Amino acid sequence: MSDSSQRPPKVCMRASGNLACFSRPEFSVERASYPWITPSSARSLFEAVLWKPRIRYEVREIRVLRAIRFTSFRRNEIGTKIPSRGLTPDKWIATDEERQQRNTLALSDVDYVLSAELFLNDAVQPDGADDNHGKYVAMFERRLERGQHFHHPYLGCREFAADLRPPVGDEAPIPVSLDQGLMLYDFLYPDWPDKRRGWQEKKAPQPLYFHARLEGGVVAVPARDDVLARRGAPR
Amino acid sequence: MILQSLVRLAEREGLLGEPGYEPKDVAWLIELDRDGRALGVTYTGEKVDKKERFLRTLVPKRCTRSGLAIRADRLVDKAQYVLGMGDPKTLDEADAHKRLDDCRRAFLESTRQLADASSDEGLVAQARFLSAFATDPTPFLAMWGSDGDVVRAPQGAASIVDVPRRATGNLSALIGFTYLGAPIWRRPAAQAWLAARDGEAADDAGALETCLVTGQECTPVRNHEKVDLPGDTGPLPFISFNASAYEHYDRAGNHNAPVGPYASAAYAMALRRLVGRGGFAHPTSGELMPARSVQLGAKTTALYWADVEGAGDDPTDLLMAALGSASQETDIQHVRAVLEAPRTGRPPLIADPTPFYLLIVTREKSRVVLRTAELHTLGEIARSVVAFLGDLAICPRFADERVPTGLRSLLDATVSIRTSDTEPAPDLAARLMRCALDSRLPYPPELLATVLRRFRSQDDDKQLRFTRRMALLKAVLVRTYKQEIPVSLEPNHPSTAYNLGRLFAVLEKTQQEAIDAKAGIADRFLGTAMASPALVFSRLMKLSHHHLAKIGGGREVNLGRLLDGVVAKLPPELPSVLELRDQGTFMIGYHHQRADLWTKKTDAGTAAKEP
Repeated sequence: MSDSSQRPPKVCMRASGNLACFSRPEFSVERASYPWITPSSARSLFEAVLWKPRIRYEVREIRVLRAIRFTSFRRNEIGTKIPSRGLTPDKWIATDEERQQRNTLALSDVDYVLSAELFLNDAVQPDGADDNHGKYVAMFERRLERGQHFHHPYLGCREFAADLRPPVGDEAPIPVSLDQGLMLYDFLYPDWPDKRRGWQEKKAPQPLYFHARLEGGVVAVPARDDVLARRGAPR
Repeated sequence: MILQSLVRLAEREGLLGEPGYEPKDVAWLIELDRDGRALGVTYTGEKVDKKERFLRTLVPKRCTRSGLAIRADRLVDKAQYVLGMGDPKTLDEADAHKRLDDCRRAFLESTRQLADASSDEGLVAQARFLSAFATDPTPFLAMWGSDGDVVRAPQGAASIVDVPRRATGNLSALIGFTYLGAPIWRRPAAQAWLAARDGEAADDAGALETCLVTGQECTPVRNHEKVDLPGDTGPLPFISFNASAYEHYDRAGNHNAPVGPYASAAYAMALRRLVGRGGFAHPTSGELMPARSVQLGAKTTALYWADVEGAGDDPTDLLMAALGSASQETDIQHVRAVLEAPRTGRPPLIADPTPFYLLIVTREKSRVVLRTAELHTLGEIARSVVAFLGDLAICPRFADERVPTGLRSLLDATVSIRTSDTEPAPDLAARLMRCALDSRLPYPPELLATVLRRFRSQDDDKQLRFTRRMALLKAVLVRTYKQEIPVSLEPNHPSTAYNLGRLFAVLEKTQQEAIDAKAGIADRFLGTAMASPALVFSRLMKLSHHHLAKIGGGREVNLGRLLDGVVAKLPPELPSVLELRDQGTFMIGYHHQRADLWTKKTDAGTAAKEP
């Protein structure tokens, strides 16, 4: 159904918030953020507005509108997890016994304009004969305009709520260029038809990385196929 | 970003040495001849600065031994493996002898393997020595024991042999062999053999993953390499996942952040070089490299580096040295001149766009806390440091006073000497460092309150860190509150709080000249005068009349005139409460006036009168 000759349509959105933490995998214990939003977090913002199994988003561009500022604070976190399988009533966490204080290095005052391509997922049945990209793009833009979302969008961590609105079009990115090196693009989720069997039966999700460069305040995110093709190649 | 630039730093400075080797200290060198006979034994230790320093050189990479596993290193190992010698105290245990024998045999096997594979003269000689030693250790040990005093220790099955005390003192010291004066483990044959097998002893083949530092597919390390950070003993891994809550997607431990062995070794080496604990020697050339870290507290360290080629980092070191241990004598003009001077082929430091990385870490009991990881440019840093030092400049209390304005000293000034927690808060330390390097950042809001609280407290250290606190107050007032604060006394300053501070200083001086009070007004009333002047000053003024009368003569007239001059600048109604920033200005005025009053006296007089 998707045209192979042209790229699918783009949807754009402006996201802002007071605090954001896109934690780096290597510093995810004492959380340290990437300097700007990761494509996977951006995707989650789009999915908060509109998502159906039939569509998927690929983030292609991130524009940074505010200067990159870090702030650091400590929070009490828990050191253990309740197991998700084999859950019985005796598995509980006493928070005051398991408390650990961990540092968080977060971004303060973030503002981005994100644009993504909307793909249709061929593995899912089309929703009627008139199912096409335009329908979903229109739905997305309507919902964005009205401020509707399935769950409250967040910037990296659930507690950092995001404000989403349609972009006006004249937002100027910051005149900063920065080479971040490798940044998380997204995860490669395996096919998972049987939810009961869990991750251990199939391969666990694999992280994908791309070379992130901020040029004139804009990060050009490569297409997902490019990222997959470049796995394993030296940076 | 940080890890990648650390790996680049390690590559740029050649910290990774050669494949298959790592830098270690070798304590003993045994010179062999062609047939494997020992010609002499050299001890490489020498006392430098009260510490024993050994020959630091590249040795074949050592393996990790866990528990009671017997694994011999290649060509260079400790006495237990090379010679089968153990700690005399533990030799009474049941199978200790057998174990030592096994170790010795393992080392012999490993050497033989290399000798047979390459048939190199030196390697063969070493193999021969070891087999000869196995059959009859006495000739060698006699030679070894001939220098230094000896202890008796059982070795092998039944014989008691003399072993040099130095060997038993440090049984983990490495023993290496030389042939024709050159180390056998560095012979080209050995190098080739080891390089071909570099990385073999890595983790047993786990699943291949993309290393998040280099982007290449490799087997990620199970444990990251450990780095020694100041503040406590023992090396710590920089990255670790030590609780289940931090594991995602059913990944265990460090697989949550897959890093390949090359990247892990590289960034750990770069960190060690930056921390420079105990003097970091370059792995190949052996020269000592200067540390690139600023100590902000007992456990908080700031590491910095710039992405420059070659030795262009010297101005960075100057800047950081200024932050680490500056004093009032640090000539701001000189620093500024250095920073603005043109350099061959590169822009002057003030405008240099080279990336500059800052990493502030605190060492807690078992983990490393990352306070901040930032990227600036050298130019920004240069400008900010100059601005910071300029903000801190303030007149000393008396002419000879040396005021340290390094970050560590400033942070120490925020805490009281007498209480048990004499460590400044690590978060404050990190934030102050960031403010020093980025002039747009406001100072942490609690800094002003903390410094002022030191003046209100009852401990007796008010005089010891006084001027440093003044410098901090001035810096905060200038940057956060945008006030104009001069370096020394400004008689026409418009601020009421400033003049109240001056007044307090004059009153204090008057009292001191009049009577010999053990608890002068400075001790009793400073806190209240600073916070609520209206309550206190009327009483102090009354007292001052008596003091002046007691002084009498020309001095009375002069002081009286000074007093009147200051009072004239005050409004008719004294404020009942001063807010924090005005309290800061009060203290600055107090300090300026005191400095002005005291510097005119002789030194002998001031020494006696200092409370």
